[in-house]
Amino acid sequence: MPLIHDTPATLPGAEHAADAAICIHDLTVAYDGRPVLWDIDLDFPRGSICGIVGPNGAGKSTLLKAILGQVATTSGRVLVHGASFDAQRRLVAYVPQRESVDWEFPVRAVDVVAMGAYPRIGWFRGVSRAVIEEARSVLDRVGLADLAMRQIGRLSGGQQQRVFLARALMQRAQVYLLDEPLASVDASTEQVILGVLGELRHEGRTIIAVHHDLATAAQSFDWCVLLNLRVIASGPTATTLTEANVARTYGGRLTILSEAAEALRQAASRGSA
Amino acid sequence: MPLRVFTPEIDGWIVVVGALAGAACSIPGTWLLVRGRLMAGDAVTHAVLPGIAGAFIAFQSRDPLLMLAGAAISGIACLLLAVVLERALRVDRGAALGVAFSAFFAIGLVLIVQGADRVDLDPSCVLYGALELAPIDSVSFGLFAPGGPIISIPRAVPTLLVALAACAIASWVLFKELRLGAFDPGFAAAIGARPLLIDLLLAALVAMVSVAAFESVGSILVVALLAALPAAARMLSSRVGTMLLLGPGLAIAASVAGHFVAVAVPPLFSDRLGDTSSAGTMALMSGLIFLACALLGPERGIVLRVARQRQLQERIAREELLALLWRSQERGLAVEVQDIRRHFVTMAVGRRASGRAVRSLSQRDWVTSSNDRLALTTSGEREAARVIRSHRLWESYLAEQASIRPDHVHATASRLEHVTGDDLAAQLATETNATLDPHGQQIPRE
Repeated sequence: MPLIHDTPATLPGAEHAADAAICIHDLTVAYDGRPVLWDIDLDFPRGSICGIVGPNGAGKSTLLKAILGQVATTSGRVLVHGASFDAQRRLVAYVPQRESVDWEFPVRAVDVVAMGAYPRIGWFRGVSRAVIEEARSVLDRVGLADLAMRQIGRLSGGQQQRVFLARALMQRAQVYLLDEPLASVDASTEQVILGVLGELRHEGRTIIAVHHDLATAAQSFDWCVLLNLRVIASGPTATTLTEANVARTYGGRLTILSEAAEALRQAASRGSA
Repeated sequence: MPLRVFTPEIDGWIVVVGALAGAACSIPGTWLLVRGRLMAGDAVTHAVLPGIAGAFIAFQSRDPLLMLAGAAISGIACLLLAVVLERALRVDRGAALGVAFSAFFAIGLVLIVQGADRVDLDPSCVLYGALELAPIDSVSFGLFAPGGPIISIPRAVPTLLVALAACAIASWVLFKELRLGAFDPGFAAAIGARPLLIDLLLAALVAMVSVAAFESVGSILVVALLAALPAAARMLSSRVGTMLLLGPGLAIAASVAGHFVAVAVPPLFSDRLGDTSSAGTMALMSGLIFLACALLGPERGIVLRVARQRQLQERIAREELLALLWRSQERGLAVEVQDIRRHFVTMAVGRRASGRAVRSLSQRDWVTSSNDRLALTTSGEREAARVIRSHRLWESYLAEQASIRPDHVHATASRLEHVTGDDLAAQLATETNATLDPHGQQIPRE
C-alpha cells in the first residue's frame, strides 16, 4: 500500500525548474508588513510570450522587481534558467516603465541604447565606437535610425518606449522582462514592439510582459498569468484567459485576503511605531 | 576715484583659487544636477561642518587629511540620521534630510564659535570664505632638487588641485557608470551596475570638494558653485560629457568676473578698502552666468524660443494671407489692403502683423500691388496652392475618415494646414483620393 502524504514528496515545480525560463516558488513580498504578493508559485515556459495581467495594485510590477532581486522578499526563491538571478543576471533584459526615469536627462538616444551593453563592456572602460554602431543598428531595428543623435526628451512617448526596448535588445538576453511596454503608446509603436517581441520568441527567447489591457491580451500573448495579490490562474492563454478567471482576478472575491493584508500592515506599523 | 591696481601675485592667485574651487565644485555638481539630487549636495556641504570644526579644535591643525576625515565622519553620520528619521519615524525623505543637515550645521556653528576663543578659526571665514586671504596663506616648495629655485603658492591651490583631479579622474574613469546610475538607477541595479555604490561615490566627491573649497569660498557659497555653474552648463548643452567640460570653463569666467567686481565696484560706494568679498561676488557672478545662459542658450534659451515662436507666427500670417488672396481670386474678387487688415483683425492677429505679412510677401515676389490692390504672382500662386491644397485635403480627410461633420472641419483644417509638409499632404491625398473638398471646392493639384 503506497504511503499517503499530506504534502508532495518533491517541491511542486522543482522538477521543471531547469526547463522553465523563470521558476518562482513560494514567493511572498511585503511592504510595511502588508503582503503585496502572497505565496506565488509560477513557471514561465521558455520560448513563450507571457503576459502578467491584473488590476492596479495587484503586484504586477512588484513581481518583476522580485524576479530582478530589487525588492526584499519575505520568503521564496526565484530561478532563472535553473539558477539564481545573481548567477544568471546576463541572461535577463529589463524594460522599466517609461515614467520611471527623467526624460529631460541630457543624453542621446543612442547612448541610452548603448547602456544595454555595459555588462559586456565592464567597469572603468569607455563605450567603444563599435558599441555605438551596434546601438545605431538596434535603433534601426525599432525604426528610430534617424533619431539616434537626438536628446531623449525630444522624442515622443512611443519613441521613448522604443528606445527602452532597443536598450533591452542590446543586452542580448534570453529572458526579456517588460513593465507595461504598451502603456499609452501610438499604434505604430505598438506594431513595432509586438513585431520585435514576435521575432525574439521566434529565436527561442522568453518574453514576460506586465500588461494592463485585457482587450489586447489574448492576441498579444500565448501564455497568461492572472495576478491579484495571488496567482489566480496561469497557463496557455486559450485556457487561462477565461471569463471566469478574469472575473475572479478583477472581482471582489479577494476582499477577505485584502482585509487580512491590511490587518497585518496595521499590526506591523503598531509594532514598529 | 582710485581703482586698485591689479597685481598678479595677489589678484592672480585669488582668481586662480576661485576658478579652481568653482571647477572642482562644478563636476560633482553636474552629477547631482542630472541625478535630480542637488538637495543632497546642500545636505552634505552643511553636514561636514561639525566634522571640520571638531577635527580642527581637537588637533589644532588644518591638515587637509584630518579635516577630510572629520568631514567624512560627520557627513556619514548626518546621512545615517536622515535614514533613521525616514525609516523609523516615517518622516518624508526631504524633511528628514532637511532636519538632519540643519541640525548638523547648527552644531558646527556652535563648535566654531566656542572654539574660536581658543584657536584660530574665524566663523565668518568658514561661512563666507576668505578668498582675499588665500595668497597670504602660502606654502613653499623647492623645485627640482635641493638648492633649486623655491616657489611659494597659496596653500589652497594644491588642496583644490587634488580635489579637482579626483573629481575629474572619477568622472573620466566611471563616466558611463555615473551616467547610468544618474539616469536609470532601476536598470542599473538590474544589470549589476551598483547604483548605490555610485551614489555613495558621488556623496564622497561632494564631501571632498566642500572640505577643499570651504576655506576659500566658505561653506555656504560652495552650494552656489555646486548648483549655479552646472545649471548654466545644462542650458548650453544636452549632453552630460559636454556639461562636465563646460563647468570648469564657466568657473574661470565666474572667478575673473567675480574678483573684478569685488575690487572695482565697492570703491564706487565707499572709501574704505576691504569692504569686499570676492567669494560672494563670485557666487553672484555664477548666478548671473546662469541667468545669461538661460536667456541666450541654444535650444533651451528663452530668447531663441521666443524668436522661434515669432518666426512661426510670421509664417502662419504669410500663409493665411496667401490663402485669403487665393480664395478671393477663385471667386474673382479684388483684394485691397484694408480687406486684409479687417481679415487679420477678425482673426485676432492684429494690424501690425498684417502689414508685416504684406511686406514679407512682396519681398518674396509672391504678390504685386497696384492702387492698394494685391494680386498673386505665378510663384505666389504656387505657394498659395500648397496651403489651400493641404487645407482642403484635411477637410476631406476629417469629413470622410474621421466622420466629422463637414461644417465643423474648417477650424481644425485651418490649424493643421500650417504644419503639413509635402510628405504628409501626399499621404493625405492617397488616403482621401478626393478632388473636391466637402464644400464642393476644387482641391488644387501639386
